[in-house]
Amino acid sequence: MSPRALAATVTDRRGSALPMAMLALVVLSALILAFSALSASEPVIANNQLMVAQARAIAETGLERALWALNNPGLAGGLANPLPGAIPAPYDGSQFVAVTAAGASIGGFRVSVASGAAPPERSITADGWAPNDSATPRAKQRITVTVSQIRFLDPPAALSVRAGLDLSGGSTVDARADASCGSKAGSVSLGATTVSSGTAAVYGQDGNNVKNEDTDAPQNQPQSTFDTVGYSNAELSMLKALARATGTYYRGAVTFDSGRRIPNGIVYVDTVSGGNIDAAGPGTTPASDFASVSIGDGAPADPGGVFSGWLIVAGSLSITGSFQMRGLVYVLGDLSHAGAGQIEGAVITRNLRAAVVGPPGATLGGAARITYGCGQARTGGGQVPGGFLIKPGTYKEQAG
Amino acid sequence: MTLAEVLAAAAVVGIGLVALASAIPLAAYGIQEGNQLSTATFLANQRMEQVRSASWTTLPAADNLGSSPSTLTAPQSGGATTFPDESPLAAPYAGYTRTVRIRDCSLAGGCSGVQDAGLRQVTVTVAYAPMTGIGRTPAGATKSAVLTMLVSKR
Repeated sequence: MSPRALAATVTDRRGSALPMAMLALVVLSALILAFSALSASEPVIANNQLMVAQARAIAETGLERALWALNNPGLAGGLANPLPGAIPAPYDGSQFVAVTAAGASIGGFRVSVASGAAPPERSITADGWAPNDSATPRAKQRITVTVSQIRFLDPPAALSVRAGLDLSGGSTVDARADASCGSKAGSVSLGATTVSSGTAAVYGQDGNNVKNEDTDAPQNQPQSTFDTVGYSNAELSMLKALARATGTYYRGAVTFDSGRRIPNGIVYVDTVSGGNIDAAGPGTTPASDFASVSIGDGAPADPGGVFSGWLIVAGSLSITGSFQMRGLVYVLGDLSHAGAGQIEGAVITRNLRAAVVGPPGATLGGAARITYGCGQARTGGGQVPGGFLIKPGTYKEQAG
Repeated sequence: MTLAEVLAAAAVVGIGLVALASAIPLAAYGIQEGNQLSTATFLANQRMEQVRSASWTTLPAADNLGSSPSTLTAPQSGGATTFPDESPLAAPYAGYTRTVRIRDCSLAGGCSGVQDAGLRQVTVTVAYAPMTGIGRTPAGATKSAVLTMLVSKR
């Protein structure tokens, strides 16, 4: 081919339109098909997301079902407390429990309940599936949680003092009115109980109305008497967490009066550092870290003027004025109650730094009055739940 | 390049594009459905979390959950509606409706094998008008995202 003919062949445009059009069509086709394929995956992704949400809600259903069973041991389908050796279905994880809504099946769960690390604890594992546990595709979500029951300490007396006790003035401790939790003394102390002055009176359920007998106020009791009326650090941590959840957790030096009222519920006044006392061993927490709580006139936030709940103090507590409460007072340090107020329920002092021989770990004076009430102490005047609750920090969720 | 060639090429491209254009509504449906369903799931999750955080306790006695008198009625407690129907939701979710129904498990049939007043079944439904491959569905036709769970009294 001559050079001229070759140049004409290369530069000639005739016949090029159709190949160019076909090429453009192929490129466009590829783009549109790719776009279609990508967009077809969108509903699948969204549906997967919905199935995961459904599986999670159904796993929650398994957890709630187990909680219901633990809190209703006497009902059909309930779980006995303590747990039986062989956990009945469906709480042994053997049974797939279908969940329907408006007549349509949404999914189902398997749940297993086991004893926890401590006696009041239970471990729950709940698996939720959507649309069921054998379909393809299916979503699975697992929730594991530890639940615990707040233990009621059931003290042996209206006022239990793990040290010496001193009463003066017109103070009164009276356990005669309530025998619903057994026969209780007025006070019980590890050290000596003294009436230093005045007409102070202690009455127990000893069958008479004579005050200050040994049966009313047993003193110099053995340490074992007080071993069962104390919370472990794990239990205190749970109580702290519950107080935090309701905004009733405080630290260090706190004064409750008309300027800062005390709300109903579980009120926890923690150490300055926020750590449990002697968590690292006996005597390891300095006294300067202890909480210091003062309660004066006008403290209850309740419109009725009566605080209802549990007051837990990781340190010392001083009550003056006419403070009225229903519930339980649990003091890890010492107690001073010298007002005209009344506590209906029970008072426990652990006196972690008090000497048995020496200054008393609890002093009552003025017109202070403590009246035993088992129901009030147990329920915090109707403010403290008694069933199994989720232990804070143990809720874990994982995808199947 | 002659006029005839150009016209022939344009016709081929035009026929091809018309054929490909039929795939566009299907692709648009996929994207729209994914968008609507994932939004509905988000809205259902959001409402379920609000329901979960409502207290229903024996001590202190509190019922901020309520129960639905019928399957058509929003849950009520103490004469007040606890989780009213949202039909439609506020912008930017005006294309969705959201309802909460809470069934008292003490009613006949119970809930997942349990018949007791200490359990309730919460069902959150978020509905929307879906798009199909050929455009909007007829008026009234809806799709929905449904979440359900039991709640026990504390």
